[in-house]
Amino acid sequence: MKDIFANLYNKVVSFFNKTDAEQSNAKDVACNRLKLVLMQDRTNLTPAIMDRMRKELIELLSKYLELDRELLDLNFEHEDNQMALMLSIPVIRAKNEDEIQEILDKEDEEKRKLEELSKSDSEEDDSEDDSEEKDDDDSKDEDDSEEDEEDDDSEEEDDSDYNDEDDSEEEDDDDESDDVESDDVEDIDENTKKEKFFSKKDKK
Amino acid sequence: MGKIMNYNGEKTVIDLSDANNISELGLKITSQLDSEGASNKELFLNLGDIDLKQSQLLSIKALVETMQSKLAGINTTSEMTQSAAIGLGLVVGSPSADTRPTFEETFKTEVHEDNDSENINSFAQLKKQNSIGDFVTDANSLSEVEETEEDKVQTQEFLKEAEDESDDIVDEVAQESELEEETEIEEEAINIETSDLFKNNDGLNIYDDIETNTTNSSDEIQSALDITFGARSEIDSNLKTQINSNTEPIKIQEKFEDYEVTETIEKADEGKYVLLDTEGITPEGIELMKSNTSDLDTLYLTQTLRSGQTVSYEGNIFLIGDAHPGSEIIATGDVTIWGILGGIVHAGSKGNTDAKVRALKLNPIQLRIANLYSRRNDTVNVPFVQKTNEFTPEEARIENEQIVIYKTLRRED
Amino acid sequence: MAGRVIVITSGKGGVGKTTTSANIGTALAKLGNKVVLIDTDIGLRNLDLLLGLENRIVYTIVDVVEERCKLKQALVKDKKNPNLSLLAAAQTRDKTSVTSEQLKDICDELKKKNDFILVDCPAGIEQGFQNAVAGANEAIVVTTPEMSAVRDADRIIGLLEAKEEIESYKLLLNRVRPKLIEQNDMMSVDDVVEILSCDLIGVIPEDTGIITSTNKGEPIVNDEKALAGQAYRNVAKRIMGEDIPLLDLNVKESFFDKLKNLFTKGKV
Repeated sequence: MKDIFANLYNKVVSFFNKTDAEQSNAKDVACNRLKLVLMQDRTNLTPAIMDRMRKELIELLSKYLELDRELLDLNFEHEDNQMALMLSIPVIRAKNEDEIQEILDKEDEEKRKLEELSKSDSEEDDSEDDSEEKDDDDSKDEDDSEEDEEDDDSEEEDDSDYNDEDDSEEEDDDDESDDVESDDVEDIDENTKKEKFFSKKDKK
Repeated sequence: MGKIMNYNGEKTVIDLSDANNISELGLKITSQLDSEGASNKELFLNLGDIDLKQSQLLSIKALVETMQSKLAGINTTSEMTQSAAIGLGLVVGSPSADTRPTFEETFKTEVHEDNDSENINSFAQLKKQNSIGDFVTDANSLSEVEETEEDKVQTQEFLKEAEDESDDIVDEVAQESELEEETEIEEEAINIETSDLFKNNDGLNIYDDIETNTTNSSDEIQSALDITFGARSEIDSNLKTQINSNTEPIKIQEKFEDYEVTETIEKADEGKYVLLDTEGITPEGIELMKSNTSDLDTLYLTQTLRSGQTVSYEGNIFLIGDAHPGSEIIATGDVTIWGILGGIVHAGSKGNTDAKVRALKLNPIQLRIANLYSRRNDTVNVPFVQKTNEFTPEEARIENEQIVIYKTLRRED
Repeated sequence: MAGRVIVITSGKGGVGKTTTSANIGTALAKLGNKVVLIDTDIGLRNLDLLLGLENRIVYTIVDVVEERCKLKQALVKDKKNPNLSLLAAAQTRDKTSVTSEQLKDICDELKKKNDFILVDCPAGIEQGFQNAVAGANEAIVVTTPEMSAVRDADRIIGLLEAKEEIESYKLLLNRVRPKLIEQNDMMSVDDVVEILSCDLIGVIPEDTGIITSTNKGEPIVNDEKALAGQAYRNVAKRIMGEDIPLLDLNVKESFFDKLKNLFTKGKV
């Protein structure tokens, strides 16, 4: 039921916000593109690497915080001949200890599993992992809609909209990041997975 | 050799008794007068025994006047020359205090016209000759002109000799002579009063020559051209001369008004061009001189000169095409542009004050001749000239230490 | 007297370096400073046109370098302001006609007798840029609120930072269109400043008067009414150390606009 209401609400809100979103596009798109390009210019990192870095950072941080992934801002800035990495992500809320513990436990389990798997040389468990993750995400999102008060940095409405709208995408993202993580283990598939990642990005 | 002898302060006698024909005479006079301090003199010419017709004498007189001097009288043993001189109101015989009033009278009638004749520029003259139409000469002189080809060759030899003898030579305009070669000489007016001829000094004295019709006609035309254009012009062998003595005389005075001085470039801030404040600008060590640009090589170009392109040449530059703003044309001699001149132009860049700039449309950002640098006035806001079917050719040259621009007035037909 | 040498640069072409040079130079001179403008865009000079001095140029920087004339001879005095003079670039040569050392020497020489030496830098980051920057101690990076210009400005800032001689650099945002910014169609001043993380020395609004002033060969600072002229005058004052707030670029709103804004604001 909650899901249905949330979706409906999103649709209605997005309908009204559509014009505003389009208007802000030209400027925001320019800013975002520019930031990305400049980051690349300043660091000589390719967009793919940058994105991977971004994803990994999000993944890492989202263990402890509930983040607005879409508004993540990663930037390099020059200051007196030194370069600083500026990362700003609106924090929706800090996770409580239980949640964090839960995730960490899960991770440990996964690690253990992976180790076991690698020991047994079987490499087919990715899909299983994915499905598990998906389930997790869903539960998280439910939490989102219920309680988004505390540490919001940016305008509340927009944020919640984005979050809910982008549910599906987030799932995708997670998938990818999982992929990426597992890439570390399996270097063989890396290239193909990168391609996959790009195509997904384009669709967005 | 002719020598200048100072006579009574401002009066000068030039000995030309060893000259064999009128061309030589003209050259010698020019070379003498061109030397320093020879201007603004009253001249007595010692012509020896050479036979001169009235028209020829008139040409010499005009020549002397273009050199800022006055022909006061002549001394000659030839009867023909004597009568010609008397016809012109010149003093004949050796100059004396008694005769002076006579030539002062002569001057009175001509002084006001002198300004006009000085103002005539060669381009204008040339244009005028063309506009007057083709010259027509007597039918029987046609053959004579052909006959006199030999004479012409001789004349040119003489000319060369004479040039060798003197460093200062009359200026010449290569393009003018080119154009002349194409000009079919045709006479429309024969019975022109000599005074009219003199007033206008525009080459029409040729007609008179033809009328009197001697074997020397080619020589005479040559010398007449020399004198009128202040140049050593050449008559091409395929020059076609015809005479039609029945046509009505032209009103030359009217024709002359087709040409005007469009601009005298002075320091004062008026007019289209203004002299640059040359203090501290003109390069040091440029030696001013007057020399014949016709002796120089000519660079012939057919292209559009664009911004940033420079043509620099030791000699004359002839460009068929436009010179856009931002381009530079620098020549030690003349610069002639068959097109719109919009860039920077420098004629006589090594200090030749006799160099000239000509173009179908003169619109340079800077116009420099020898040591005079002028810029387009700030109030003039025409960076680009519209290309039209009609242009009025213009010529800029130095006169009295100013740049003067001449152009043809459009005739209202 | 040791004058300040300021290079005006941008990386990208067409953002208004030359216009900025002409206007800041004129404004500084109007404030009583002795100013020399150096056009280092050899082969594509334009500063002379903007100042309306194109008909006065006899010698150029190349002539100075090649010792065909003295430096003093090559300085063309402005029509109106005797405090302002121009050292023009040669139109018929290219950037390699002058070396960085030579330009530095010229700047050092001019420094002695002038308060400000403004070096108009050519577009690009090649020899021309290196030359222009060589003698300068300060830089003004001109950019517009467009991606390409901002990106190039970022590159230039990076290069300037690597130069030891450049003690400070400031950003000048040119051709700002308040209306477009208001509608979120254009990056705002803050956006650009944030992205480039560079101090701002001025914001110049887009002004059609610039076009006419260029055509007339008279910098827009001479137009007391023009907003862009006012903006440039403010920049000049800031260069001289005065603390002047940024110009309010917003054109006065009509009642209708205000009403409209009220509604749209309420909605968001």
